[in-house]
Amino acid sequence: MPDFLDLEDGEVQLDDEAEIVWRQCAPGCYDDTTDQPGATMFRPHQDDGNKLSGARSSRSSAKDAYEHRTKVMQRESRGTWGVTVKEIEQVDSRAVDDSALLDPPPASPPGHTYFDLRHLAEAHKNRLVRERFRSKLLIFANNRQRQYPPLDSSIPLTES
Amino acid sequence: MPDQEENDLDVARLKFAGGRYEKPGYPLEGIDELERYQRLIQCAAKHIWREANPKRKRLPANFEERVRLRLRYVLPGSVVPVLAPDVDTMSEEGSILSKSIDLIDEIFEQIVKHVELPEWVDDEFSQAIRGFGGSLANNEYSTFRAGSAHEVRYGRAERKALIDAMKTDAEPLSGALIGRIEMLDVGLKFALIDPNGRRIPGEFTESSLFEDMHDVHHLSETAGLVWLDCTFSTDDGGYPTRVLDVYRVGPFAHSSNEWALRLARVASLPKGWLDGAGDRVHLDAIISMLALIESLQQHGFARPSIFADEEGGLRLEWLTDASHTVAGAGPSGFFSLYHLNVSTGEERFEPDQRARDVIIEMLSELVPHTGEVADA
Repeated sequence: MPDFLDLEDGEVQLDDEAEIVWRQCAPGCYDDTTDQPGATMFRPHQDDGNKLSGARSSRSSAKDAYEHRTKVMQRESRGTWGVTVKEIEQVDSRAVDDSALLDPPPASPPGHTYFDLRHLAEAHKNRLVRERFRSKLLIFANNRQRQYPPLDSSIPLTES
Repeated sequence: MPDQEENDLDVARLKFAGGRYEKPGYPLEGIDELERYQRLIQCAAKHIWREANPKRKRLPANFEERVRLRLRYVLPGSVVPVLAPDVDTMSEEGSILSKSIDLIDEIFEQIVKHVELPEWVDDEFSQAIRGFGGSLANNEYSTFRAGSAHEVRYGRAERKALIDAMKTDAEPLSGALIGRIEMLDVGLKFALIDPNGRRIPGEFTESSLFEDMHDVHHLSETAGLVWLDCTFSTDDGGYPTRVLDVYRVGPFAHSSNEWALRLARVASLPKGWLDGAGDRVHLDAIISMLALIESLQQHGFARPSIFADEEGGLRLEWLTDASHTVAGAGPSGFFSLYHLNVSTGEERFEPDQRARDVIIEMLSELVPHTGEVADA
């Protein structure tokens, strides 16, 4: 059992192994020429304090999560990918819903959930550990394929 | 109706069209543009006079008033304000007025074609140029040299492009730029077209570099991409706006090489490309990775996805439903390899490898390839 830090009041660890946590792919993490995402998609934002941002599928659809990033936050995205709670646990992490502690939508995405990496901060200074973490999640997400916009959709992706 | 003699008084050949300018008469909201145009003429006239009188420090008394225009009337068919010299303009200034109008036409032609101002433009002139066209709506535009074979159309989009290009960071950056050298002159000035089509003017101070720059310019004429080790200014988005000096230059790849073209685009990502994080790719990483992909192409390897990493390095990634293989070139140019297969549990990690051949040999065990050596 990983040595997780205590959760704050109002945070909830996701316990349904099959629930998906959505993750947005920034343009720099997507190769348009091969239509593949890259492992840097699972790199935490520098201001996130070792919490990798996402949104839980029981409270946000893949489309909602995409549109929150692109229309509300006005940031580019190459689409919504997802990994399950079980897959997150396979990389020694956990999914935590902290939406109750954030400003209500639209300021924060509905069902905001993070991949908890705080206990791995030291371990992830090791490059091998970091590569392993990102590669596993990338394989899992890629096998599920992009969830929004759908692969057969005619909706154009936002320009980089 | 104005007669021919009065038509000949139109010295400016300036026209406005679209939106509010499609109705008869001249919209009062557009009067500001005429005033701004006059400001441009006066700035140009000052420059011309100073060039002609380098030893004189002060302009003649009432110089601006003596280089002035008057709106005589408006011709139908879009809006052609007939601007004539002020009746008090003396013949000497009349010549300068004509030259000033020509100079303004040339400047705006340069702005539209190259999104840049001449180097000699001072702050006052620059401000006047920025101001012109400020009232034009999206569907409106001005035309310089109206009615000639060399009309120059300037509207809101052109003005925005100019203003965006004029924004610069206070702190220049040093690093690598990739692109085609479009123009090179003996004054050590050039223009670089980056992989995204942005035109970046530049200069270098070391005259001994001219021969190398000439060689890569020749490459660029046949669609070759080149790299520059240089110092450059950037705009608010972190994109280069002007090359301030060049230290080294070399061939990159032919633009028909799709892997190399992708590499060039990735290497052109600005600082902060990863949601605010992410360094610009380092030159050593670019040179190392370029050599690696050329070798991989020669040996018929399956095409990888190409990315930057947040520390200024580059990554080649091959992704299947069970495995992920990464060949990296770090900021210092050293190679690395990581491989994971979630089905078999196989994992390999080779950090900080200087020898490219070692990485290629490892990749040959992990990534599909024909193994055939293609012609160089």
